Amino acid sequence: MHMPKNWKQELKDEFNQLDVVDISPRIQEKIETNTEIKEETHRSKPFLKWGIGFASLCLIIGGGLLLTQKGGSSPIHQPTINNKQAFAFSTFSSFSLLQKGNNLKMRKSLEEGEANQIAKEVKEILPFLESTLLIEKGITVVETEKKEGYAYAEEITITQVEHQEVYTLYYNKTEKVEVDEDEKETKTFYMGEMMYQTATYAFTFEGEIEEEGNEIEKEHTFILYEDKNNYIETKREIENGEEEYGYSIYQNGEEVMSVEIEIEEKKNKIETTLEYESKTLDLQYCFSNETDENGNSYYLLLGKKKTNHSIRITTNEIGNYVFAFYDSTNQTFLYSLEY
Amino acid sequence: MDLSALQKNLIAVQEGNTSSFTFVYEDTHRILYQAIYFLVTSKEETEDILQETYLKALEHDWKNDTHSNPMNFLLTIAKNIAFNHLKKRKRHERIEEEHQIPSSYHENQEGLLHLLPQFLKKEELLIVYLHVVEEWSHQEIASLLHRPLGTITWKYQWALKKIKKRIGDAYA
Repeated sequence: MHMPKNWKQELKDEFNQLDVVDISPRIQEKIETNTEIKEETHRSKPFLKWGIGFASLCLIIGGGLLLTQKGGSSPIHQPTINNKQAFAFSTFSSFSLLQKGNNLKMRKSLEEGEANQIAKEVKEILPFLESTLLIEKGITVVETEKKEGYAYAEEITITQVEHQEVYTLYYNKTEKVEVDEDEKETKTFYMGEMMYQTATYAFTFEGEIEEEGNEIEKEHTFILYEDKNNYIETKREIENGEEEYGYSIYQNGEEVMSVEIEIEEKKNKIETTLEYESKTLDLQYCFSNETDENGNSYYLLLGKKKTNHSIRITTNEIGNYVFAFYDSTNQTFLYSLEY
Repeated sequence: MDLSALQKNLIAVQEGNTSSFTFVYEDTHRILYQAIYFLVTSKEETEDILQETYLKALEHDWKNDTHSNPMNFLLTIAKNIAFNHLKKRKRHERIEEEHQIPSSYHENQEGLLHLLPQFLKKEELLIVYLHVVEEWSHQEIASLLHRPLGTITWKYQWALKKIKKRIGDAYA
């Protein structure tokens, strides 16, 4: 067996012969009809508020919970979620709240009114962010009574500081393993429904693990449906030690928001980058929990790329949050707002 | 600040001069079309993804962007849309398989262009296309995909190994 000498040229030739249809008129027509961009406020629905959190949770615990479950014989699963995952989960989940009533636009300079709005929104996500950090220790999963049509049933309890959330999953699963010399591919697919309080939502979970030599790639996709046109798609990819998360929210069949997150560990410290994009908003922050020279903890939202400001969040003596805004380019102090 | 002709035309389209799109399209459609086609191997799907790529690119703030390389930007969008599309397609194929419906996706054609996508991973396909057909350096591809140079080199070598293993006999 030997490598053909001309396969590269042959591939080039094939591409040269590929009939490329001119679709520019149809695109141009689309551009002309799309000139008015709709100003959408993207009011968040209750489904989205908790749904994105739940989607994150399922995605994160998916690797430990669903994918390692062999035949469902083990009655209790206690997935281990490391800080990195919990941090990602909490940050992600919280960020969904930012979409509420958001009408920020890409901007040259941050005005005080805009800073006020950002501070108010960030304040909303902070308690959620803090509480979800506790999820690391607060998840229990037990098998529960099965439902007709589903081979598996599990009850997930999330214990937070003052309350518990309980979800029940009913699902069927398929698993396929392909081994090709030093390449192994494991595909898992779950389809079912999730009950939260009195509501039922369909979900799919897809996991793919590819092992080639020393390299392992993992990819999980979780979709939680409110209905066929309204759903949240959450992806997690792990490759070469890098973790990437992606969220997309679809409303009426259209993607209205997407968030990407990259998690890196630098000098034993977790660095989380958030990229949030919608038709009316384009912000990118690096989120971290920092400690100042006096040993006091604070959150830092460091503006990246076009996000021209950073926010340092502390609490004052009466327990209010203080949001200090700084210009990203020259570190000039801009505003301090208390909520 | 010198903007490329491509970026100037993108700005012109955004400012309402839709006829400038002709220049944008002429400058970019071949590489985008071919890269997408190599991934999805369907003309109909390629056309849809190509259209989505341009429409998405026109949502970008080109006027204030002094950093992005417009061609790389377009390729990145095309790659992301195509990758997402492939994931969705997988789900549909699974349903088709379960219900024994003949697959509606792959165009039944011969040649390397259709053979390689059957066993190379999506990122490997993109790397092979850019390096072999477009003659991009590994460094340029690394920059496009935001990957270390070593990863691209490794993936390319791995792809060559697979090609050798899978099609070597056919060319012997």
